[in-house]
Amino acid sequence: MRSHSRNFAFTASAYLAGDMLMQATAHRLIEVGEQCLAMPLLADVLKIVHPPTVGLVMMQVREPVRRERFYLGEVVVTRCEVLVGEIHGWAMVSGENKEAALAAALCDAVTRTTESEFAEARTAVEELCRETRERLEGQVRREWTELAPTRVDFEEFE
Amino acid sequence: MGYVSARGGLDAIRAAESLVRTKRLVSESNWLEEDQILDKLRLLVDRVMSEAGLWDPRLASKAIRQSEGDATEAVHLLRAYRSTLPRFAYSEAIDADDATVMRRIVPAFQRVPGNQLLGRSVDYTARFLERTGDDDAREEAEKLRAAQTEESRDIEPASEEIAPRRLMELLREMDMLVDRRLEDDPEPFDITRTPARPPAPRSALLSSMARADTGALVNQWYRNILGPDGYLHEVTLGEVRHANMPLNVRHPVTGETVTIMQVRVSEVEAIEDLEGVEEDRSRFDVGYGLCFGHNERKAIAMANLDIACHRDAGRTQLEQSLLLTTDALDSAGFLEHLKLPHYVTFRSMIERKIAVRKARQRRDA
Repeated sequence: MRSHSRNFAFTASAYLAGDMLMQATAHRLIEVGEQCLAMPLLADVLKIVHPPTVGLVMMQVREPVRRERFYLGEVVVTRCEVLVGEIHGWAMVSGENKEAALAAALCDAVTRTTESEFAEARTAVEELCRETRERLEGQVRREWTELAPTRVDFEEFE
Repeated sequence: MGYVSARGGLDAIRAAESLVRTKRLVSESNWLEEDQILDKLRLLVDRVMSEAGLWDPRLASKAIRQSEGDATEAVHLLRAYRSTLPRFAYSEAIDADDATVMRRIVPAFQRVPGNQLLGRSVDYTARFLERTGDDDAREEAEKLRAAQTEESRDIEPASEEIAPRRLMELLREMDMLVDRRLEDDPEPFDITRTPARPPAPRSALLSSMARADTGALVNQWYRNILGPDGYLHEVTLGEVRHANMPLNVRHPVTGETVTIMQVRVSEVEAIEDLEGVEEDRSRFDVGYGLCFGHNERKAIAMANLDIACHRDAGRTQLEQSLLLTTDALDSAGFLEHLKLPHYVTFRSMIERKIAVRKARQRRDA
């Protein structure tokens, strides 16, 4: 049973903003984060709850033989938590990337704002999510284009 | 001879450190970029991450550069760095079936659900050392790059092609497998918090092998299958995969599972023919191997040793060997400490020899 089939991004029409934000490229996250911060209303209500910090996530896998969980190893990530007014924003991005983690946490909070004055920021974040989804889907397609010719076609002899 | 405390050598140590650093940084060749290590030495990067038990390709490439290509030293650097970082969380339990394959072969079965997908592999390549000159190689690279740009029409994969059903599922449907699926869901053993000692749960064994030294694991497998341990297994590989596996964590605000990134893994299932008196000889059993990066040799050894250890059931020292002697840092650290001064211990050994001689002389007098 697939517990998380929505990871096959190319088959899913819907997607989670969180998935896309955490997997956006660092430079685009920082760009959109700076774009949001340039909006005075947003910058005024931004508080950093937990500054960007580099740390580890232990990767837990359920193997298929006994359906048993085990720890594969640790992954380096950067985590950050912010408040935009009363709205919590949280992010965890791959590797050591404090600026990207801060930007991702800010964007994460923006996705849950409802106020009309943040509409422009929401649009920028939605655009980032959309382009990230397209990039990831494009990666899968490009990779498969290279891989497909390596499928084995068996020829059977009568 | 009495014990004389002494100090010294500090200047020599500093000079040796400086010599290493200077020779590494100052040379006639171009500066080695991290991107070059990531691209051109990708399998070394993967191996170092796997043996360090730490996924971060960029840090691994830094470690390889600093260690001047010494994989074990690079593992040491990464483990040391890792020890300075806080642990934020355990990921959600990621189902191995959620991985998407870049390579997938099934040596046991010709026609399997999904494809035999060779992917990026040198398995079928003649091992001729290429002696092409750099200029010719660069020219070829340019031609290949141009050809790639021309063939720009991308192909959409079907989900069963990149996430194929396992041979194991087919064998289960044929009732050919011993069913060892658990009813309960025990918490995994965390070897980074508590050293695993036999008898240990299987999750400790899998974690230990996942970050073991590749050479040590291959050696254990070879010894186990052909060597003095005398266990000649009838092993066939079910799945050999190189795949992307999502790292999923729980978003603390929304409660949703979010994917942070994709981690590349090598995954193997080893099918074992059961022929023991107390075993079900009408069925097979399966061992499992999974490690960071593209390192099929390690994953194959791990899968075979997983099932070997299960069948051994503590009768021999196999589990102890796997848990206690396959870690790159443990074994190399112990070995390399032998290079440090042992003046006092060796002096006491000489004194014992002299004492033995004196005692013998007194006895013979």
